Amino acid sequence: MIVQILSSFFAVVAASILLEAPKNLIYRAGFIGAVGWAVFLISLNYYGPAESTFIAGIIVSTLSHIFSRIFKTPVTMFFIPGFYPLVPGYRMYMSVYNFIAGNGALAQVYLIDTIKISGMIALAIFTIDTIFNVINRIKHLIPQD
Amino acid sequence: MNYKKLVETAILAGQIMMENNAETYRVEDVMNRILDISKLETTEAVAITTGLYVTLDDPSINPITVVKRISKRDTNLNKIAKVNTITRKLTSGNSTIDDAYNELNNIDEMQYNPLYKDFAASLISAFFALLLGGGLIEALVSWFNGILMVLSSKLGSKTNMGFFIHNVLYSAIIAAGTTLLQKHGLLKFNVDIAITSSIMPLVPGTAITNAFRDTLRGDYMSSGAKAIEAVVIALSIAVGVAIGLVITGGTSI
Repeated sequence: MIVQILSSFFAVVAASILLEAPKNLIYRAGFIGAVGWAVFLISLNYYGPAESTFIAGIIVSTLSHIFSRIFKTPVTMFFIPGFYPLVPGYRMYMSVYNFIAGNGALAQVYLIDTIKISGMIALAIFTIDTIFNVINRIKHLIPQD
Repeated sequence: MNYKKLVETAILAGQIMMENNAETYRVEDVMNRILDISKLETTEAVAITTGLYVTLDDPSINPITVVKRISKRDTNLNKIAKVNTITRKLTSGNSTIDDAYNELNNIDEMQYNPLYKDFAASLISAFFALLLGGGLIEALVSWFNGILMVLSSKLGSKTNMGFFIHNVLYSAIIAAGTTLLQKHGLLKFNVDIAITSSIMPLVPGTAITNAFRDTLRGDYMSSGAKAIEAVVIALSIAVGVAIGLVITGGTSI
């Protein structure tokens, strides 16, 4: 598991380089990706892949928002690389594989899993974006003295 | 104040951000902030994934409207960050419009050595193999596939074949090559992990993430376009993998 978390760190750093992220931010993005993947692996022991993706997505987007406020940079810098490990590539492939192999039922299971996981990523982003928006609004509403 | 220059600056900033896959609301926000410097009555900026529209009007001047078509699409996070910094400097009064315009025009320089970037791109696949629970052999096979991907994307951009055909071709080669290596080579490894991690760099993560964020903000035109982009990329990979598996009989192991 340590190997998996470490490699998720390096995978996200490499992805950041491919996406031309600013040099001083790539290791921070890698950190977010690694934390997200660690949370995903741990919660996989207790929940299914969709729920685990949601929990990991919540962590990734919260950290991204916090980092973007600390380092004064658009939140996309952390979002796009940070979510790379969570994108359901494996299930997408398994769905195609089983479809070709003639296991229609199994292909459908994997396809539905893929859609569910994408939806969970969306839900996690929705939730945290909204929370941070609300916090911003409240900050504006409170008169500063 | 030179309003024409102001509008041009806003359009240029918006164009750079849009071409590099920034979220739509951020593009509109940046353009509106730049236009607000003019303090005119009507300032309006609209961004959708395929174009930008900016209007500036006031009783005292002739209205200025600029339309800009966006056709290039790429992801370069550094440019988004830089446009953000330049705009902040401009709107806080620490920079003039002319300076900002020049800075935006000179934003093009790359910060990584191309060779270093290609190396990183090939490594993504290798690390994804480990991340998905594969061993050293899977990582090495995926790394080899990653190098193939870098080479084929160079070939693809040289011959201008378009991303769909390129994705199909690459995933077909990867799926076929990996299956053959497993069937006839001496190596024993998990084909599923090797193929999955090899296609991971192509998977439309950016499009999915941005589509969802734009939907939340109510930019349905842009989010729809990005969602379709994600589906089309996913389909191209699926078709490619399917072709590769069928050719080599990879499903009958």
